[in-house]
Formats: sequence, C-alpha cells, structure tokens
Amino acid sequence: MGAVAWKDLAVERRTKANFNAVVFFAALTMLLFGFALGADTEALKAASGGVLWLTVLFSGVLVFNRSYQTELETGALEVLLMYPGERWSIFAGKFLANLAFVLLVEAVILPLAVVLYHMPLLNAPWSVLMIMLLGTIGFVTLGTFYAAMASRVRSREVLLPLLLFPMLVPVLIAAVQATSALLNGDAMGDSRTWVRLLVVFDLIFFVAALLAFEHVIEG
Amino acid sequence: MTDMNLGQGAGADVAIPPKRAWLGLVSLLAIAGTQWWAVSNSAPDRDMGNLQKIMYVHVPAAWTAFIAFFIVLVASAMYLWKREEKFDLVAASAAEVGAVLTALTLALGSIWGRPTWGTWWTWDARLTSTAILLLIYIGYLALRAATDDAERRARWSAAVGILGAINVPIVYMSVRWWRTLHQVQSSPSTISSTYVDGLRLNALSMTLVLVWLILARYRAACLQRAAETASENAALGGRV
Amino acid sequence: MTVVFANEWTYIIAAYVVTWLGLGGYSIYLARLSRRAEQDYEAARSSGKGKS
Repeated sequence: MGAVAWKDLAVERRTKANFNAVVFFAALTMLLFGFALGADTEALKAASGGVLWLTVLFSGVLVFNRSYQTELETGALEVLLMYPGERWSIFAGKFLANLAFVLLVEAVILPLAVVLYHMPLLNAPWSVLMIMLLGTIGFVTLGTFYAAMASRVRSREVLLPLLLFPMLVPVLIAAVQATSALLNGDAMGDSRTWVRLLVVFDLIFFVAALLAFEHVIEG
Repeated sequence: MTDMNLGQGAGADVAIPPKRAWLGLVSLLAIAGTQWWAVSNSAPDRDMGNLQKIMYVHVPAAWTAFIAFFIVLVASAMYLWKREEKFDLVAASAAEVGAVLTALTLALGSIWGRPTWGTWWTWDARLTSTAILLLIYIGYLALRAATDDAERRARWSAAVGILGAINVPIVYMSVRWWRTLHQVQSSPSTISSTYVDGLRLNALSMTLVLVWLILARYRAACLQRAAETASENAALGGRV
Repeated sequence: MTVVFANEWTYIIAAYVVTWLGLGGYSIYLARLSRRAEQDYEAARSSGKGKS
C-alpha cells in the first residue's frame, strides 16, 4: 500500500504539470462561478461555501481517472494483480495519493475563495478545515473507487462524474451546510449534525469501497 | 412455451424463460381496474380536493420503483456471492424497469405539485431524493452500456448497484435535513385513512405490473446474452 | 397553503395519461427488444449449427 501511494505521488511530483493544470482549472471555475453569480458581495459571501465545494468536485474529478492511467498505459496493472497481495492495499495506496493531491489543490483554492468570495474563514478556521478534510475523504474514497472502472471504458470523462456525483450528494449537502453554518456563527449547532453525517458517510463508504474493490480491479 | 436450455455453449447457461404475454394483459387490466375503482369511489379531500386521485398512480409508481431498487441490491449481492449470470441479468432488468418507474414517479410528483404548490418543481425532500435515485440508476445503466465484456460488466454493475443502494437512505436523510432545518416540512402524503384501501389496491396491482415488466425484460436479456454467446461460439468455430 | 385550481381535473387526467403512456411505451419497447433478441438468437443458433 505504501509502495503504491509513494509511486503515485512520485509520478505526480515529477510531472507537476498535471497538478498545476488542475489548480488553474479550479481557479478558473471559481472565477466563472463569480461571473455567473454577479458582483453583489453579500450574495457571493452567502454562496461561498457552495462555490468552494462545487469547485472541489469539478476539479477533483479530473484527478481520479488519471491515477489509473499510468498502469493502464504500461500494462502494469496486470503485473500488480499477479502478486498475491491484498487488493485493498492497492485501493488504500491510490486513495492516499489522490487524497494528498486533492488536499493540496484545496490548500491553494481556499485562500482564493477567501479573497474572491469574501469568505469569512477567520470566523471558524479550524472547524472549516476539518469539514474540508472530512468531505474530501468521502469524495476521494468514491472517486478512487469509481475511477477504477470508468478509467477503463469508453466515454470515461463523462462516465466518472455521472457515476460519482449522484453518490456525493450527501457529502455536498453536509459539507456546504456545515461550512455555511460555521462561517455564520452556527447559532443553532447545526454543524454538529452535518459533521456526524460526514463521518458516518466516510466510514460506511470507505469500508464498502475497500471491500468491493477486489471485484472491480481485476481484469 | 418450453424453456430453451443452452447446455453446451460455454458461458451462456442461462435458461430462457417463457413468454408469458398473458401476465402482461392481466396486470395491465388489473391496474386499469383498481385505478377506475379508486378514482370513482373516493370523495374529494378536504385540502387537496380531487387532486388526491393522482396519488393512486404516484404512490404505486414510487413504491414499485423502490421494490425494483431493492431487487437490484439483492440480485447484485447474489451475483457477487454465487457468480451465476442469471443474477446479473435480473439485476440489470430490475434496474431498467426501476429507472422507468422512478422517472414516472418524478413526472407524476411534478404533475401533482404544480396545482398544489404552484410550481413544477419544489426541491421537496422526496422528489429531490427520487431524482438522485434516478441518476444513480442511470449511472448504473450507462456503465453497463459502456462495458463490453460480459463478466466484467456483471461484476462492476453488482458493485455499483450495491454501493448505490447503500446510499439511498443516506441521500434521503441528508436531503430531508437540508429541507427541514429551518422550515416546516409540508408532506404531500399525509393522507387520511379513507384513501388507504384505494392506495393499497393500486400498489398491489402495480406490483403485478412490476413483476411482469421485470420478467419480460429478463427474458429479453437472456435472449440477448444467449445470442451474444452463440455468435461468439460460432465465430470460434464451436458447436452451439 | 394549498392552491386548488378550478381545472384540477386537467392535472388528474394528465397524471393518468402520463402513467399509461409511460407504461405502454415501455411495454412496446420491451416487445420490440424481445423480438429483435429472438431473431438474433435464432440467427446465431442456425449459423452455429450450420457450421458443423
């Protein structure tokens, strides 16, 4: 598992081009949302949580298919599967590599959201960071899982979001609601419910994806 | 009406079920009958007026859509356990029929909502969850369409079907919380007990339609699969 | 909160029409699909049998 994660990250580090491209795409997405929503400061502030998470989803989805690409091109996947190792370790390795990647992208666009959308991050910085982490874990879990399939068939660019996004609705709702609540003082303590939902979601689907992975990674 | 068995062919050992056109006729007559009975025997509701009569198609559609989804879950699990192709074909058939019923549920919910709330769409918890369910089904079917290898298609569909089913209650809960946190939920189905008989009857008859549709789709799927394998065998020069 | 239009029957009829069109349309699709599949199956069987 460590080897797989390390290898994926090493590949990404050498070809920083992809990371840069995803980051620029995320920034672009944020700008476009801004144009779509209009220049009213209060409206942008209210929408900041939603825009942030949609940006994460649209740019993050570009990462997952690629994480299988090198193996597909070189046929390394067949070789990897020939070893009698546990399949779940392949999943865990890819999950970690993708998680690191997406978190790094978020590290860049979060300040951008603060600037462009007047996001009052300082109201609850650590809580918001925790929500980012929890939501990203759920996102990357399912993204890594579905990409194992989508990356290997035709129309993969649209198939992955088609499979992935409906499944992420609870994450999107919970993360955006929790973020918005926390940034506005969370007078009603709503964020706790949403955090609980995120944790439950992450646990259930990490286990489910881990168990199901052996069925999808084989030839 | 006899079962055609393909004993010899490699791979496709799924027995092709008989045609059962009579079941189609009976079930369609059944829903026509129960709908007629329910519509003509129900008095206008205090709040909804005669619009409550839409429930006699909307609720059964939703009910059977969920049964279909449940069948997808069970058949998918059975496939991963037993690796018998028939389970995969049952799952796929139930998914397609379920998608149709889910779309119907949404359309009927929208038709009900327009005169009731003034808009065609209301982001109400049930309607929204149903829309997401439809998209999960469609993703499942799109994955099947994109995967050519039968064994891979079966394995992948099963995994996707199971994960999708796990998510259904989570999606419903999260959408409901989202809608009710700061507003009172107006539930469209607080229906008085006088309508329960009509609803139950129509749900039953629609279930019969569901059974027929899934069986018919399953038969077509078996034939398709058998044709696929037969032509593979022919191409390989083997006997069919 | 309930707005009942005078022409509520329009919506009721629309609901039943949509239901029958939907179920009927899908049944027709199924019939066509089954017929095609039967033909393909027969064709594949006979071409296989003819070979040897």
